[in-house]
Amino acid sequence: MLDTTVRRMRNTARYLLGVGEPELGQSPRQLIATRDKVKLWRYDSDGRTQSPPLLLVMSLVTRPAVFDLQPGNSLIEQFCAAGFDVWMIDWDEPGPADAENTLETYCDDYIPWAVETTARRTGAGSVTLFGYCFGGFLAVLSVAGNPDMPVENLVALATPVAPERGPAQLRPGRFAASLDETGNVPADAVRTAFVTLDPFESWFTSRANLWQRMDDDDYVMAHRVMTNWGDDHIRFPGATAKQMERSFSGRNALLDGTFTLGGRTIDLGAITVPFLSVVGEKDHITPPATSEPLMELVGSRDKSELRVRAGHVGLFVGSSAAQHCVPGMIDWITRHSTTVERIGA
Amino acid sequence: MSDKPTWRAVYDRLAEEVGPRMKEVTGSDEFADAVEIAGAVRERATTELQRTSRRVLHAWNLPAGSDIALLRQELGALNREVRTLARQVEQLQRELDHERSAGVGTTTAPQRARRAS
Repeated sequence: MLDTTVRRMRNTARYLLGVGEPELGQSPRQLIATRDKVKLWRYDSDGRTQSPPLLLVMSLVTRPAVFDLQPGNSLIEQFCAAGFDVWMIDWDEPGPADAENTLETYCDDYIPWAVETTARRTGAGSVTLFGYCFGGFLAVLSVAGNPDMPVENLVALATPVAPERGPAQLRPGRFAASLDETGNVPADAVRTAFVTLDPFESWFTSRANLWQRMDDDDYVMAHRVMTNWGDDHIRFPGATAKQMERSFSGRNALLDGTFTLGGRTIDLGAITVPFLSVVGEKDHITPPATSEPLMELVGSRDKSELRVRAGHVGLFVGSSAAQHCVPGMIDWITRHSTTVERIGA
Repeated sequence: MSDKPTWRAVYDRLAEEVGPRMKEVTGSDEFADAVEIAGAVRERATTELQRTSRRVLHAWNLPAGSDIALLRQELGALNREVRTLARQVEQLQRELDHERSAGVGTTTAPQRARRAS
């Protein structure tokens, strides 16, 4: 009893004073290339045995640290342990120079550049492209719009292709009106949109849970890790926000075949590479209704859907994800990769 | 018997009652409109405040925050132009490499003109 009380007091003091803030993204990695603000990282591993390399594409509203939260709770760590050669695109926070970035900037320039660089530098000649949330949306558009891009497999994790079916706070028209002096959607507006998806949970229940389990060191650390990442939203490029509003406000342009990218009409039927869609049944940010149409739209013959009873982040973060969803993804990617001699640096 | 403390049981009952209602309110179009209006009001107030502080600071020949913002925007525009130029150089380099690999790019334009004549 005394132990518990002491731990509670210690953890409360540490939490309130910000002592021992967890450091996110600790997996060792190398910066391979940059293009404007975009960084291309490769994660160190002694056991790369799967080809092609796995290239992760993060969303534009939060930082990619969620892929590598903490040792023992890291998707990247699990991918490396499975023998994948893991690469990641880090968009960084948009500044004034990025305010004019459109979907074409990401889908026709940055992603093809990262794919080609990864394929060339590893000598594999192609990649498995893995997109999460809005990053999945960008990856899907990029592959559909650039059929010559050397992508061997495509994984779309919690990817909204029918955003108008999603929560009102995140619908495409919501952000375009609130640009800041840099010409981008301010991080505060993005954060508010996410918090108001379930305000009682965000403001009160998460704190009540923390208070109830303040004597549990692991829980407190996990809470701090998630809070630090979850509160660290970044600006969203202004021109992309306006384009999303024009293209998707009041309609689902990818479903009705009217979406254009750089003057080309984009048909997801043009995607013919092996395809995996991962859907979280309890996802309140990308509800199943927004990502389910992918299976019908994508033209691949070899396509699968992995449905998991998990939320948006719970798909790949936490102990439940490590037992169910992540092994499912690893199994699919491994089956669509080739085992090779150890891949070097 | 549950291990739940009394305060938590009370909280959970409250959360059950209030949580879904709050969610419904914040998910409505009216709430989105209210947030938009609040944002516009805040922006207007900030603009007015900035205008006043700018007048005061400029009277003392001091730079204001809006001057810095303008500078950042201009730097951003300049940065974008550099990016565009870099892309054009990249494209030209690719075309040149392509010509070279096709065996016609090792000559200069006047040489090609002479050869053509």
